Amino acid sequence: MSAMTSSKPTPATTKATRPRPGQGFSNLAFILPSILLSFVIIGYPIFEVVRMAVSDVNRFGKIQGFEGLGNFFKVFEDPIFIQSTYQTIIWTVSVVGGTVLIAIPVAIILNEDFHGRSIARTIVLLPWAVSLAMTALVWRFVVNGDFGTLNLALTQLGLPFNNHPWLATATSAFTIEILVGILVSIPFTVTIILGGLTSIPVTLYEAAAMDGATKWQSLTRITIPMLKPFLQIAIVLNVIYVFNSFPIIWIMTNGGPANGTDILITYVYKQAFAFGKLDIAAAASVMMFLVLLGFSVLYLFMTRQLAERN
Amino acid sequence: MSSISINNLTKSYGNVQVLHGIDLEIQDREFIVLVGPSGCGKSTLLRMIAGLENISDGDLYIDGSRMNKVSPQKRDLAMVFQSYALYPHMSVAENMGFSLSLRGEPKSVIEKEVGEAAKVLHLEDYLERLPKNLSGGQRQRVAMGRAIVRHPKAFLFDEPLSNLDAKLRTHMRAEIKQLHQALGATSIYVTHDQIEAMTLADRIVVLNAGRIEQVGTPLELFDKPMTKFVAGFIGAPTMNFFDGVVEIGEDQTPLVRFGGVSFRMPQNARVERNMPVTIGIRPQHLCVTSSAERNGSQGVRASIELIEQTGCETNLLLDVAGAPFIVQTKNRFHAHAPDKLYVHLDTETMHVFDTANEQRLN
Amino acid sequence: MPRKVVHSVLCWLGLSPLLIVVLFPYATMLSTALKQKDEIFQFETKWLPDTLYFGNFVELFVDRGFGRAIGNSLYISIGATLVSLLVALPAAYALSRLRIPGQSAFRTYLLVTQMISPIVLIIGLFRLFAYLGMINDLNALVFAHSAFYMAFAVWMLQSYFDTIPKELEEAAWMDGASRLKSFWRVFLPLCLPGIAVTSLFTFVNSWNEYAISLTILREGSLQTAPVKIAFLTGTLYETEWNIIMAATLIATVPVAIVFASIQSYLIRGLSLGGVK
Repeated sequence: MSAMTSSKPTPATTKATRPRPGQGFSNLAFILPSILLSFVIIGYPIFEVVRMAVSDVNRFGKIQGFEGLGNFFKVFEDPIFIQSTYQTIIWTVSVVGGTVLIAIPVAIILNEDFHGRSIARTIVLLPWAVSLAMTALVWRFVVNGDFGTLNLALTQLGLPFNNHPWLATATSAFTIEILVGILVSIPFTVTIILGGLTSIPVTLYEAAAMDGATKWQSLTRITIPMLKPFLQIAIVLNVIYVFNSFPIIWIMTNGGPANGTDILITYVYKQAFAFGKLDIAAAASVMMFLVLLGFSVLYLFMTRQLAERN
Repeated sequence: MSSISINNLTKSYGNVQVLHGIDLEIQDREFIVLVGPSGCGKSTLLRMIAGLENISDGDLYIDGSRMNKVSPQKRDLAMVFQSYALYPHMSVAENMGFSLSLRGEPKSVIEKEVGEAAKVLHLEDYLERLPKNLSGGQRQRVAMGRAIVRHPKAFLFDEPLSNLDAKLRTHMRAEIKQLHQALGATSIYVTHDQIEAMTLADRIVVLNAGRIEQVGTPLELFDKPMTKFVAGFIGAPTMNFFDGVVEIGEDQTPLVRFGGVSFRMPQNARVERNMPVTIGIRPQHLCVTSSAERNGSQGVRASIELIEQTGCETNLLLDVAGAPFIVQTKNRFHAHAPDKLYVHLDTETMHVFDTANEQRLN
Repeated sequence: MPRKVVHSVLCWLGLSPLLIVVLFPYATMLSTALKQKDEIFQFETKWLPDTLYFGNFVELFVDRGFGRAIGNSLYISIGATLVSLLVALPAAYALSRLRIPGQSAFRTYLLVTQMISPIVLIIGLFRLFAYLGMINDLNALVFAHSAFYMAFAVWMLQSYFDTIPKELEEAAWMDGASRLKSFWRVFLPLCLPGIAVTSLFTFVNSWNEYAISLTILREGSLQTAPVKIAFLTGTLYETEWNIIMAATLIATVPVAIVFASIQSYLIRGLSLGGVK
């Protein structure tokens, strides 16, 4: 959700935002509480995870010695980790790709002037309001083979899906999860793209029309190029969110069947809280953390560029 | 009402100095206009007087007491902002009475003062409205009303009319002038519009790049600009300038040669032979004829590039010996580009400046 | 006008697949929550219940202690909203109005804290609260949520503060208001809507959070609503979907309504007429 505010251009004149000179360091008191809170709650756990990742930790969390990179080697020797990594890539690419592909036309339609637009907007953004855990739970019931409403609806449409067990095979379960992942990522993405669309001045389209552009041409020659930086930001932020999205897979399949829907984050959670291998879990967490950090840097770089363009 | 005295005031942000030693004495009841191009430091100076910007160096006195370290709350000055800065969550009456209510005045006093100000400003029917339901001109009036009810030591105006359209601006300009005549309050008014400056001011302060170029009454500035900058800034269309070198004529009168013709310079010009000078002549003071001779003196040959009719006047854009000139005449002019004609420069209307330091020489 | 009608129909048609998928779970929730248990496990499933049955809700609160879970969730969400506002308000004000040494570093720091998902740090969080003796303590969640949602609150508040022109405060100073008074009588009333929206957003985020609550609150009586509901699926011999759907309905619909109302507010933004 962060991008909504950080990519929004901040108004007010330069005169209004010009900081008043003097009184520098006493102002730090204003930001100190926030720094303190996040240092303890976010900073300390980072330290702990890194420490455990290079230590030999028993299943009760006691640190028994220094391991160096040993835990990381153990992680890489675990075939389930390799499988989870592979599945994480599929999960992330499919969810983010699908989300962006659907969100662009949806946002363009929602930017049109039509009757009931605000209702449509509200419905499209609705999944954002609901806990991922709840969404996952409801969908788990919807696709339930025996009494689920998906099979009910498909059967009523005359399709042969009576008692089809959607979550029984890894492929179909993973597909369902990806679709749910797309559904919950659309609201946020649509919001960013809508922000981009409203930032395109109407006069640009009028000028294009005067230059003889058709509706399609002004879409491909003006809208899409102008949206590019917003799409980049939407993609990077979605990658970050989807990469460590936990509840959907955890609740719908718990990573099963046979680890077929495990992604890194569920792998980590199982290692830590089901198998008690805290050091392995910590090492995998550190690797995920580094990937996240890389994407965060990429995001920072992109928003800087967008800010410079404006 | 009060007098304001500014001594060697400077302002810098870090290493960047934006005001270089400003000296100014403002008399009680005087209407002073600070004018200059954007970035000249005029708004900064006003905000320093208001107390909204720190004073880097120098002194500010109001009625004889030093104000450098006094907070804006305690200076007892009223300010009209460019954006009006009306409190959006308060009605017109609440906006105007805010300062009085902060001071703890009883309700009856506030109502009376607000009522009187509203009457003066024709706002009686709008007292219960919120600012967002007012037109631009009405908001402007509320901002003025907020200042009036306080009976402050002085009024500060920061480009108060620049958000209005041209017609309303002229109208409000007149209202401000009338208000000043009625209240007689010391006023400092910042604008970049030289017409506003000319029409409103008792005295104008022309600022350029953080320095005072000239202080004087509107007509002093128009008739006798002390620098080339002031000459170019005051008056519309802009004064015509051309560069030349001083020659000394047979009767010891200084001459300047332009377009193949030698013109007499004013007798009092402090010039010497071969000195590079810049001559300025207002578009209203040039005369054009179809013949080279007029009253026995020679004109410069020019060609018409463009003719602009404004109804009252005709503006001729000319090419005079390679220099662009504007001539403004009351006569209806029947000519077309690129007709040729002759421009006559009258000695008594010439402004002579030193090309090197742009200071006035006559 | 008829042209706009045609246009509207086309727009709705284009959106309809997505709208159906979004609304489908709600239909499911509603349909299931109002059925008796036997009706769900029939061989032939139907959409509409034979009779409207509200017993699921009663059972949920009376026998399953769902009221307790709602209470826990409320405690955490309200607490997290208050704590994050408490730290975010001064930070946002400083970012918007004052000069702070290392301002851009602070911004980047906030951004990074926002990017780090709590789930990656879940082991570290667990150890932190274990050290502090706060496993199975609702306050642990209050602090965890406020730390992770604080950055967002800071941005949101700052962007509201930035829309309030500095001239308004300056005008108040010129009118004789002290710094405190101008903050209290001019600044605060103007940013109240922004503070309200930010609070609701933080509340909704905290209400919906799953992973930390699942990990830190190990005792059944302390579970939050989402965790409790997810647990209902695993703890029983046969999953009682009628009860679960009733629970999801209660846990999602009020929050969805709150969100829907502020979401339109967010898009509309503050349109105060004081300036320009």
